[in-house]
Amino acid sequence: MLVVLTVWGLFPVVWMFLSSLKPPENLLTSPVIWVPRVLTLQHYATVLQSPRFIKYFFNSFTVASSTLVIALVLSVPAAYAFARFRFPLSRGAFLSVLMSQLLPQAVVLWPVFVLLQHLRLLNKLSGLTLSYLMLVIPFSIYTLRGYMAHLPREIEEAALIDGCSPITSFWRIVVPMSTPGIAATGIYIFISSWNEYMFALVYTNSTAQRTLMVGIHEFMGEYFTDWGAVMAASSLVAAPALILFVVFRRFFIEGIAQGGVKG
Amino acid sequence: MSRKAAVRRRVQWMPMVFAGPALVVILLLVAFPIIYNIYMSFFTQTWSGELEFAGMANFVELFFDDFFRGSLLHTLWWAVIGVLGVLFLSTWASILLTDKDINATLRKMCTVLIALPYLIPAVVSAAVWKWIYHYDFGPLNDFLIRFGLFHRVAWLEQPTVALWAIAALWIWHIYPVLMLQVLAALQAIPFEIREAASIDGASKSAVIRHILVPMIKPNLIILGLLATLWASKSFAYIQVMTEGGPANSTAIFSHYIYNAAFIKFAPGLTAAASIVMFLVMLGISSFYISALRRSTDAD
Repeated sequence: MLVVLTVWGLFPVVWMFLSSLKPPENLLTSPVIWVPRVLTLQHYATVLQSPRFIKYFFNSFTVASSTLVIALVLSVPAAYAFARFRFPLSRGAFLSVLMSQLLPQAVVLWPVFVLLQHLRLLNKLSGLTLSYLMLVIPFSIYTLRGYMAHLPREIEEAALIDGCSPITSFWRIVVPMSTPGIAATGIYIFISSWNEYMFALVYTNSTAQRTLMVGIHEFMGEYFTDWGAVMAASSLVAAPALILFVVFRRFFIEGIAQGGVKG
Repeated sequence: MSRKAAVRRRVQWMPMVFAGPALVVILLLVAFPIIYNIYMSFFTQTWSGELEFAGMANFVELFFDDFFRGSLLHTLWWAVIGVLGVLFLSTWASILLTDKDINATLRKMCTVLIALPYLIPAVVSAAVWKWIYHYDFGPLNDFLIRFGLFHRVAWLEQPTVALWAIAALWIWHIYPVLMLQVLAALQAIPFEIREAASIDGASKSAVIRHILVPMIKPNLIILGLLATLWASKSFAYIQVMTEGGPANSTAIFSHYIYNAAFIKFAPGLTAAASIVMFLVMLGISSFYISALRRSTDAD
C-alpha cells in the first residue's frame, strides 16, 4: 500500500524529468512512448539559451533573496519580543499575527494592489518583495516565537546578571541558539517566495519584471505548447528545492513538525 | 531615578522597537485590506473614474451573478472534498508509516519520497499534471487504454470532471506536508499504548479507529483548518490547468475577484466579493475552532 502511495507521489516527478530528456519526436505521440531509446539535452539548451528564462530566473532569485533577508531581519527580533516580553498591545498584536493567517490571498489581492499603486511600486520587483513580506512575516513570527519560547531562559538570565544589555544578550545568545529555527524558517521564506504565483501574476506585467512561475505558465501558450521546453524548465525550477530537501531533510521535517501543530 | 525603574523603563521600549517594524508590515496586511475592502464595497466607480456611493448595490449584484454563485459553490466544494481527501490520505499514510512491521530504512526512505511532491512548485506540478491529463498524448489516458480498462477521458475539458481532476492534483501536492504533521503527532503517542491494546486482543483496525485517531483528533482539526485555508489559495493550480475551466466550471472565489478587479475594472464589486470571501473563511475557521474546543474539552 505504501508502495502505491510512493509511486503515485513520484510518478509525475519522474515523468517530468524523463520527458525533459525525450527527443521532440517522442514527446507528443499516441500511444505514448514511456521510455525513450534516445535521450537528448536539446530542451535544456532551448531553455537555458532563452534570454527570457534567464531574466525570469534572475527576477525570482532577486525577489526571493530580498524577501528572505528583510523578513528575517524583521521577524527574528519580533519573535523574540513576543516570546520573552509582555508589552503594551502585545496581545492584540499577536492576535493580528494569527488573524493574518486566516486571510486568503485573494482577499488582500486588490487592496494590496491599490497600496502598491499609490506607492508607485507596481511592476517593480521591490513592490513584489513588499507584498511577499506581508505574506511570510506573520508565519515566520509565529514559528520563531514558538521556537524561542522553548529555549532555556537560564542562559539569557545568566548573561543579564553578568552585565549584558538585553540587546547584546539577544544578539550574542538568543540568535545563535535559535539558528536551527531560523534556518528552517528561512528555507520556508525563500521557497514560498520562489513558488508564489498569484501576486507575481497581478503585480507585474512586463517581461522585464516577470518571475519564473509566471514565466513557466507563459511557456504554455494557448494553442501551442513546447512541452519539452516546459518540462526542462520545470525540472530546472524544481531541482534546487529537491536537492535542498534531500540534503537538509532533517531541517525540513523538523521545521514543519515544530511550527505547525505544537504552537 | 532608581536603577530598577530605569531598567524597567528601558526594558519596556525595547520589545516594541524589536517588534515594531514587523508589526507595521502586518498591520498593512491585516488592518488595511479589511478596512479598505469594507469601505470600497459600498461604492461603485463611474465611467469617469469617480467613486459614487452605491449602498448595498454591489452586494445585490453579487447575489444575482451566476459566476459569483458558481465560484462560491466551487470554493466550498473544494474546501470540503479537498480537505477530506487530504486529511484522509495524510492520516492513512502516517498510520502506514508508523506500523511496526516496517523496516526502519524503508520507513525513512518512504517518508522522504512521499514528502517529495510538496517540494515541486505549484505551477510546475500543475504543468506536469496538465500533460498527464492530456486527452491525446497524456500518460494517464494511455495507461487506461493500454490495459483495456477504460476509454479515453477528457479530464480537463469537461465541466465536472475537470474540478475533480484539479482537486486530485491539489491533494497530491498538499497531503505530504500534512502527512508529516500527522506523523509527528502519531510518533508522540507512546508505543506501549498500541502494544497494550493489541495484547488485549484488539485487531489492527480497531486500534486505529478507537485509539490512534481519537488521540490525534485535535491535531487533525487544526490541520483541517490549515488545509481549508490553503484550499482557498489554489488559484495557481486552476489558473495553469484550465484558467477557470470549461465555462467557468473550475473557477473559485479567487477567480471571481481577479475577474472583477482586472477585467471588469469594478473596484467596488471586487471589494464586496473580497469581504464575502473573508466572512466565509471566518465562518469556516470558527467552525473548526469550536470543534477544536469541543474535542479538547471532552478529554
